[in-house]
Parts: sequence; structure tokens; C-alpha cells
Amino acid sequence: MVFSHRLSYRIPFCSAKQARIAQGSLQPDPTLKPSELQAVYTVDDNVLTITFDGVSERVIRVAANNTIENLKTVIECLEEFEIKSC
Amino acid sequence: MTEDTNELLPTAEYSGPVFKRFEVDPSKPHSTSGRTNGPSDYVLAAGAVDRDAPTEAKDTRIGRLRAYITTLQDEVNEFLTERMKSKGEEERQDLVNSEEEEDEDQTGV
Repeated sequence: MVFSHRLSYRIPFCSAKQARIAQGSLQPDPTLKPSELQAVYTVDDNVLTITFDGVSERVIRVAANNTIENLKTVIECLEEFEIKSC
Repeated sequence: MTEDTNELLPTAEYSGPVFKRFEVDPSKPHSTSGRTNGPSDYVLAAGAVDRDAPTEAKDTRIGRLRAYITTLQDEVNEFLTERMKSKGEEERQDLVNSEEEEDEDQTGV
């Protein structure tokens, strides 16, 4: 299957540790239709990059919106529970 | 929201038939209440209570990051929705055109 659409989010965090926590929280979520969508999570220093490759705008929109909702929950947890926030 | 020289500014890029880059302007107001998520105005007007509503962002770098991401998410969602609509319109028009061509073939026009 050719993925003709790509959406990448680049999210900087206060530290590399936070970026890895976000990656480790989001990455286990399985892609329901790997033939239609692929999501890749990478961390470089304090920056988390999430790349969605998909067969259509619709597929990418649904997957990315869902992932970003989860990402916001992760960040909310960091805000609330991290002893040394930033 | 206060500005910080070390603000955590997220970005996004879409590439496909077109290319678009999304950025947030930290000098503008940002909120964790997005335009493209949560219950619709219709549902809220009917008396529904959004129990999953996000908390307000704290005035910290990580708190403001969550608000910036919400803005970015809204912009990406609106862009992709608009592209889906225009693509659907094009496909409908193609279907109408091909049906008209078929009719012309059958009538020998």
C-alpha cells in the first residue's frame, strides 16, 4: 500500500526524560489498520516527533487527532504529578 | 499567558497533494478548550455536561505547551476537514460528469 499523505508533529518538552515518557505512553497503542496507516514515534533529545503516513486525509485526521488527545492527557499528567515541573 | 524566551513551541507539517506547515504564535491567546473536540454546541445546548473537559493549562512552560498543542490540533483538523470536503465535492462532480457522459453515449448524442 502506498502512503500518499504524511503528517508530522514536532513536540518539544522541558527535558529528554519527558519526551521519552510521552513516547513510551503513546507508542504501545496499536495501529488498527496497518495497511492504511503507519505511526512512528521518535525522540531526539527533548523533542518528540510523531509521523503519520496514511492512504487519505481522513485516515490521518482520525489517527492524529486521537493521538494528540492522548498526548494532551500525558502532558496534563506531567503538569500535575511531576515534582519538578517547568 | 506570559511569554518566555524558552517557550516550548510545537509545529506540524502536512505533505501530500499539497504541503502545509503549522506553527503557533505564542503572543496570541491559547486555551486547552479546542474548537474541534469535545461535545458539539447542539449537545451542550441540550443540557449535556462535558465531564471529560480538559483542565485549564497552568502558567508554566509545560502547561502552555498543552494549550499550544490544542491550537495546533485545531488548525490541522480544520485544514484536513476542508481538504476532505473539497475532495468529496470533486469526486461528486466527477461522478456527475461521468454519468452525463454515459447518458450522452447511450442516447448517441
